Amino acid sequence: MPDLTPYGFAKIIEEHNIVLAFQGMMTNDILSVVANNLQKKHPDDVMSKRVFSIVVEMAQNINLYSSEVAYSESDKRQVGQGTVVISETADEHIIYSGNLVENDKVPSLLEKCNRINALGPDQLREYFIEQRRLPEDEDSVGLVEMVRKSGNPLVFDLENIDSHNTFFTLAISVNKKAKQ
Amino acid sequence: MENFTINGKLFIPSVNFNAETHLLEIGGESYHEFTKEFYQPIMEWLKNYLAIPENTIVFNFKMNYYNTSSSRRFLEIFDMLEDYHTNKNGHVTVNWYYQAGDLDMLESGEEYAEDVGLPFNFFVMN
Repeated sequence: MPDLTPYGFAKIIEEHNIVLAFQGMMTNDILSVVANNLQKKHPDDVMSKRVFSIVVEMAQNINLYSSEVAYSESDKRQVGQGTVVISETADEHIIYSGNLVENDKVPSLLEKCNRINALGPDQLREYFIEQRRLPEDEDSVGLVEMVRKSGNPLVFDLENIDSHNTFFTLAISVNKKAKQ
Repeated sequence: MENFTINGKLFIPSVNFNAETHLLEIGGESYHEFTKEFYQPIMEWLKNYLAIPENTIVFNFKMNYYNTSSSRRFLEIFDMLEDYHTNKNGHVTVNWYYQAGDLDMLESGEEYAEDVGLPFNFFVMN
């Protein structure tokens, strides 16, 4: 049983190098807080901008594609819910997202991720330009953006929950010494 | 026609479209989650503005950060400007500004320049 008193919770966060974690509706207000937080720690830094852009794309994907939805009063509509976690070590940031997806959407999601991971930098650039002209719900622009900003492949996991839902986890690392 | 202005904040860009000087400027950040709705009035204004042919338009693009959803909206704007440039006897120049060292933003501009038929100039923001 984990110790979830404030002290125990703080220790868990520290042990896992978590700098920010959020679960629920990823609204614009929340994203602004994340942006502000990253900018304060690493002002005018291209890397923190890259980390932020990955968080934004993950949040957008959760909002649009999570099968767990709730009514957002500020947005006046149903939005998806999920989890985003940022961890930071001396060498890298890892940004995680997790959300439920409907089982019948799993094959196309898997195909998108594998396809992107097979591409090199120049191919990703062309693929991005090409995908941006596709209808909005068919494209992989958000995922391509994440890979391009991180310089690393998508690490993903799909865990079946029940006959309706699968839990989709995405982890993307941004090396601190990445070429700028 | 009236000029179009939006005062930017956190996730919303500053927009200054001037129908008299034909200087269109957009800057700041854009990561609104419902970009179709947010950009709809901007598109509407542009559609009316571009109905008047033969103007020489300068589009100053001074964004610091935008998400991929906004990037689609900008592509739509560039497509409208390209149509004006090519089919309405207009002349459109895009000035793409980026912060010194932000090569990601420079590259984003180059990708638009590759995708749409408009002249692009690139400048480091002061």
